Amino acid sequence: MPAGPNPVTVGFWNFDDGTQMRAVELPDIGLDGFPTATFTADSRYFFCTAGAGGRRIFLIDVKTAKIRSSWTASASVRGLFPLTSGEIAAVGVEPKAVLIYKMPAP
Amino acid sequence: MSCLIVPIFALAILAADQPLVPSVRLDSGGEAWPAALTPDGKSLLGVVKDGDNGDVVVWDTVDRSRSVLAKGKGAASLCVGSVPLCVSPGRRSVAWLILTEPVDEASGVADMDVVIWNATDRSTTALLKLKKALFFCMSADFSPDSSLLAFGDGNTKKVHLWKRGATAKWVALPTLEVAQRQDAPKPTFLETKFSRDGKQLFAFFLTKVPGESFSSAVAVERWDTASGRPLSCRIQPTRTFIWWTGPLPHVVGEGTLCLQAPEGSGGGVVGLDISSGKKSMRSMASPWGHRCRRTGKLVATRIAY
Repeated sequence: MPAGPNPVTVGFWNFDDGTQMRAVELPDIGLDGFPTATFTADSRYFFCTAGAGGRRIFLIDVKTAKIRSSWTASASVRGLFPLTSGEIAAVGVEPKAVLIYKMPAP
Repeated sequence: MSCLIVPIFALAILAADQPLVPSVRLDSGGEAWPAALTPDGKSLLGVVKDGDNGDVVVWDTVDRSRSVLAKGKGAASLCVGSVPLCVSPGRRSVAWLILTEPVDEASGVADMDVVIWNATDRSTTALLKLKKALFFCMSADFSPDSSLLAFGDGNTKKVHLWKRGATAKWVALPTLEVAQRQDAPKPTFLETKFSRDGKQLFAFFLTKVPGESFSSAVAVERWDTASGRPLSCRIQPTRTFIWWTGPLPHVVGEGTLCLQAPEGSGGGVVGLDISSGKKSMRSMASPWGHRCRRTGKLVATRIAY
């Protein structure tokens, strides 16, 4: 996926041997919104918010450093939480409400 | 032609996104900062700002009710260190620091409580009461197995420890004393972190490097968690970017301390081997945020060009 006007790189490192494993450039990211991110329990996937006021969510395969899926929430996402069901929950906020979205297990 | 390509290209990117529809909508009553959704998805912990005050709130996502666990006095009640709430790795316990009186504007101090909430029985317990302390000098960390909680108090340079007992009650362990270094300001930031296996506890605090008049370095001490015995640490005070709002410093892998490099040095994340004190790696420049997998050896960094 080509980068947009404000690309940002997400890099993955192995701190045991100091090697940089892979990096992926996210498109059209912007620095707006409240960035949040989480690994899945098995560390195979990385979820992060980016752009659109923190409403866009990317699922990155850590091994290949490729974007596997992306979503757009209706509210700014301020929390990403893996659930025991395998799903990933995103918590978005509006001025007077909190919204919970669920994404399927990768 | 290029004028057309750009909007079409932008539309193509947006079209790749799948729209997310919320499955639950909860009333927050104010500006909310969600901190933890329990692994079963049934309880959401967060802070709701109500004017200048911050309340710690739990929502039941099934019946959509909201309960106020603690009412803070003043905006500073939003902080444990600089993180709104300290969440255990299993997300079954949440600790926070809450002001029980407004901050004295002249001295910046206030009375405050260290409080813990357990998801199992939805109980709230005050673990520690602090008198006339500076709230921004505090930090907290759970051990990777969520059985221990460390709370660093930069006012007294003490690290308080609790262990989760069989009945889910938190029992106090002997308090650890951080060495009173001449080159450390008092009070100071005091960041506490457990090692990946939970057997060691680290304390990071501000200090000076020789020849500099202000505190621009991080000093490190460590203890054996089980005995409370101090362990040697060869890491010399290391310059860092003093930005105490991210998950750095952090202990990852089998004993690597990650620090954010100071401005003007090219930036990046510096990895220091805790046993030898030697630099083990350095990441790309200008990092912007980090998420460390203490158990997975991985760090993700967002870098703005």
